[in-house]
Amino acid sequence: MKKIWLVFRHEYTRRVKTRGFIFAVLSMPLLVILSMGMAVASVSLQTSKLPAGYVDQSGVLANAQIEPESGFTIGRVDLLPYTQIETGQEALAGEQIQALFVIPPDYLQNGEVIIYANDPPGENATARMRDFLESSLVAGETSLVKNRIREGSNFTVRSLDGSRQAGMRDWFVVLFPFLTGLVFIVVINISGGYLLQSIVDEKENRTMEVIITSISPEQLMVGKILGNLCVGLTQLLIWLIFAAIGLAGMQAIYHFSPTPAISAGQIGILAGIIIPGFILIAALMTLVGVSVTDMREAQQVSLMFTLPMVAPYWFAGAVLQHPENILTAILSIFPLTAVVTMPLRLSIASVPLWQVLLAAVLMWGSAIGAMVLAARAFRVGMLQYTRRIPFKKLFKDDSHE
Amino acid sequence: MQAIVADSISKSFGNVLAVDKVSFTLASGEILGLIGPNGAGKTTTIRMVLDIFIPDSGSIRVFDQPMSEELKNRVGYLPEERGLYQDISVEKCLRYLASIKGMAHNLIEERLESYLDKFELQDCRKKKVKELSKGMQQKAQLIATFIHQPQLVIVDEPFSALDPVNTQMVKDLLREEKARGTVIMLSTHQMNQAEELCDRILLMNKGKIVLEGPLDKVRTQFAKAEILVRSPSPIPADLPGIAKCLPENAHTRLILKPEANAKSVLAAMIERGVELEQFEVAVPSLDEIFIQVVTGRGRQA
Repeated sequence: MKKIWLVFRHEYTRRVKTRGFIFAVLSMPLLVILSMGMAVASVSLQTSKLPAGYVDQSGVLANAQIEPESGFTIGRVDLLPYTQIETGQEALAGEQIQALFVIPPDYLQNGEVIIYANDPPGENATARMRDFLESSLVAGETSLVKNRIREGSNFTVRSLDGSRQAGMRDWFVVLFPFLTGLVFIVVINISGGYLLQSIVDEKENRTMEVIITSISPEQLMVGKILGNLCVGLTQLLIWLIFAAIGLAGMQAIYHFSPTPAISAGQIGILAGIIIPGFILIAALMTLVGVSVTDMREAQQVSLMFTLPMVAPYWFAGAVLQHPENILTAILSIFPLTAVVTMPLRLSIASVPLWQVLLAAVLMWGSAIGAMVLAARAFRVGMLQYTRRIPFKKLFKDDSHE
Repeated sequence: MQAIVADSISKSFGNVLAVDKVSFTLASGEILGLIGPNGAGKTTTIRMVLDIFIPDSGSIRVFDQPMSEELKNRVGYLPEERGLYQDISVEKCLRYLASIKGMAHNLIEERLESYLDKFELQDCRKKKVKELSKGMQQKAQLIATFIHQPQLVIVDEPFSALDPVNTQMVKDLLREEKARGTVIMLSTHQMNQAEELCDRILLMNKGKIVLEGPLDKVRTQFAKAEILVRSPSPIPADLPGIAKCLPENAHTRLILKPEANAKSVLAAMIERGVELEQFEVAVPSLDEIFIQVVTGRGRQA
């Protein structure tokens, strides 16, 4: 165990302390921050800060009080009441206001509002006016009714057997498997890339021959897989920390509801499928790394199983609309696509238990099989410097060679 | 105790029989020279001893036990082709290789200082391995081989890429290690180095051991009835017991008749008043023995 730990630590530290890794880790959040900053700055520069005026001919706003804004909009504007359209138009012509909203006498019948503006008014002005009208319309209601009207209703779809239910506003239920799949693909691609590089490099520079006179090939393989997997997870963790900070900041600014919690069932199902998924891909990457002779070839061969991982996203529409059809069922059971498809399918439909169990069994079976094959390939291929290992040899020869 | 006992080990790769029923032993306090032409099976034999390859048949015991994780910590290996991480510093690389040999942190630091001094690599310790010259990398590889003070060391072509000064330093190191009680298996193409360092040789060809034994015995076994003489005056061709008289660069090689010996030839020369500066029974070099055994040819007389 100690030697596995030493290999793990070596693999991990030699990656995370490199400038390339630090750049890769920081570049993504910096890029996001920069993009968001530019978007905010761009909208802010194009949005007028002038107040908006209104003329109420309907009497709807007779007793209305202008409340302070509850949420954040770029370029906060004030609302100025005018009794006459002409007065408001003069203010508009004199560029004292950016737009004049006229609420006609028949507003309650047809909901029409006329806007006078030299340029199209900013979203800040129209949103402010919309909120003002809504709050004025429900002014006489209790706070409970006001809140319900503001937040709307939540429709929940429930299966007949009661095995699952999903609220139509629970966007997170569908988004979560999507995000989990993406996270899986990102982590496995980062880790797998490092793992491939590590194995191919050690073969190329002959270090492997020295290492295995100190530890067993299996210890070396396990240490490498864990070390490089943790490199990918570290990168992901740092991104998630940045994302959480960004989310917290956005919540504070926009006052939207907090992130929904993840259920224990989701964690159980995802762990049951994702953990063997990680093992499976890591083992396949190892298999490729020791079977080929250089990094370019390794990357080309590894596409054979990294491409199927993203295949469910090509069929996302079909999966979401027809979660019970044969294509969706196959994608959710086949090991390389199950990691993304099965959680997605479970979030929107009642999946027969046998399919869930079959997917888990196949996933674990493939993971264990791939590890056995990778260990064999490691022994056979670790000292094959100049030629590729024929695949059939992995099944024939179990000696070091 | 025998450091290595290999009993009839064989290894094939596909249809190629790389090592064919090879048996040998390596005793404590000994330097064994493993020599042979390219493709003779030396590296495969070494890899089987190190448990990198599993023999198809036969058995290997190291310090009277099969190779194990614990035993690997007592073995040092210098491969023919350098095996160091190229993209990390020399000291980091050496620390890691020492740690997986089971060394404690404090001991690693202590020995690292000592070996970096000894091999004059202190100035390069922070440099990436790939920034070092081949010779420097070879020195770093030697440190990795010896830093845990192994009881058995297997060195494959240790002198490659080294200049004469560093070659001498490595020879001194191997002698020091031998004096410390380390058992050494030395695989080399450089026969003069093997002659200088080895107590015993094992000559392999086509996967088999074709010659084995202490160096003196091997030489005696291949010694011919030949004498090297140097004289300011011409050597008389009609000396009794001389079959041929072959002038060479600085001396003359006398090929004796079957019934003659060195003592009788020397007596005859003194009797004839030949002035002698050198009189030496010709002993074949390891190079000559190697060529003779491998090619099946003797000296072209």
